[in-house]
Amino acid sequence: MIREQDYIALFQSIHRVLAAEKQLKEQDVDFMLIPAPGELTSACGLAICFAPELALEIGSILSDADLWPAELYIREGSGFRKL
Amino acid sequence: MAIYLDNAATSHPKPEGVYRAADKALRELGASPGRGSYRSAIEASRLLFETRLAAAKLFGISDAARIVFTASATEALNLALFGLLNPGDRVVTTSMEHNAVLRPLELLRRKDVEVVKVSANRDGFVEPIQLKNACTQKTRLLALSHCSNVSGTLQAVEEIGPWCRKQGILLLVDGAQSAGLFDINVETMAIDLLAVPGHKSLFGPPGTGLLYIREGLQLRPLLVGGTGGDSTLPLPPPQLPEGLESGTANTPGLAGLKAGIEFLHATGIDTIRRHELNLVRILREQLPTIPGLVLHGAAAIDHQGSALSFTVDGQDPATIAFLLDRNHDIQTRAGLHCAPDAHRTIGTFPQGTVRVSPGWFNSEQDIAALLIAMTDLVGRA
Repeated sequence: MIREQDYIALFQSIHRVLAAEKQLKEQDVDFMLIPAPGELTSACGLAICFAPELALEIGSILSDADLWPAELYIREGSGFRKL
Repeated sequence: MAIYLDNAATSHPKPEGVYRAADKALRELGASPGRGSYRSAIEASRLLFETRLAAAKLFGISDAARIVFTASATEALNLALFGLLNPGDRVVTTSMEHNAVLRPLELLRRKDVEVVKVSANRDGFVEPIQLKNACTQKTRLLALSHCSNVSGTLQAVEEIGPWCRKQGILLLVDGAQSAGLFDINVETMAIDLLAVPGHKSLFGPPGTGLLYIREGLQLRPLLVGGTGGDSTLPLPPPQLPEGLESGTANTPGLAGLKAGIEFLHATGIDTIRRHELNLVRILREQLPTIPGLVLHGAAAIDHQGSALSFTVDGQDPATIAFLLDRNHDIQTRAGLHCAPDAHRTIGTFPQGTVRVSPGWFNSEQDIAALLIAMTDLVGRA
């Protein structure tokens, strides 16, 4: 499900993760709403996962909508690196 | 078929889409929002999210996360008052409030919150200058019903709100009788806290309501418990809406509320208001032509909501409502309407009034039937 170098964005609340989902759907970019990986803390249990080549575009969409993630990680090997 | 004229208590019937949405949520969706990350649980969360967005659009709220769902306007008002006020705080309110404001304030008064009540005129209108004069001492909150549930009198929130904001006084508006009927914009009216029932003019099912809380205000929760999020926290998270929504959400009710608000948006609040106020206008013009009948409403139609009251000289309001129901199949509400101070203000305490509150699904024929029935009842007395 999560590939090497994928980005995982965590949000403080379900409301915010769903607001982010709505923005990204409206902009027709490729992403997945997934259960937050167990080793990462997440207030809402859900996360947004996307490929590294979309990081700039998705970051810009979320930033413009005032929905910057509470935490952002990159999948590296069997773990995650916090950005 | 009975003629229902008690929409100030709860609107009935509901738009067809409300029944369908509630049934679908209960029958097909099933899952609890925020609990689990399987698809139907996420879909239930989306339903709440979209309901919040629809409500935010209705009240000019830029961040829908500042809307907390409650079981009623009463719960929303309790959350606002108990969540905000501390011993030593001073609150100004009016003599037109519902017990949903009066009773929490009475409990708070017993815990050293100072409560000052400003009297309305006999027509139920509270002069803004009277409110301003009552706020000369340091005041934390002004709590005000937008529209009376007894006389239907509309208050000048659009004047009072910006004045409060300038003075640094928080404004709590009880929108029980106005939300969905009159335009409410929390920004232009400078409303800090707005309590709204879902089941009146928003057409949702009973068991739904909401509280808008302006950015920067942090309320103590009325209830704490599971929020579906980080279970390791000793208390609910501070962020809204989850922090003030402990416990399983009323998903079928909120699905119905979403459909109700969508009906309101699609039909147009102006269209609905014109229709309801036309029925009220007929009542205001025709009821006083019945011998001995005294109308208790706003001074003029431009300050009138869609509820109004009447009494008949020498007759018990409860008997009139009973006979309207039994002999004419017309449903009205007699008594004090959970607003004893309002009745003291308009001079109808303790016997109360007969309240008539038409809704979107009433017709001019319904009003004509009430007028014929009342003429008949008074003629027989």
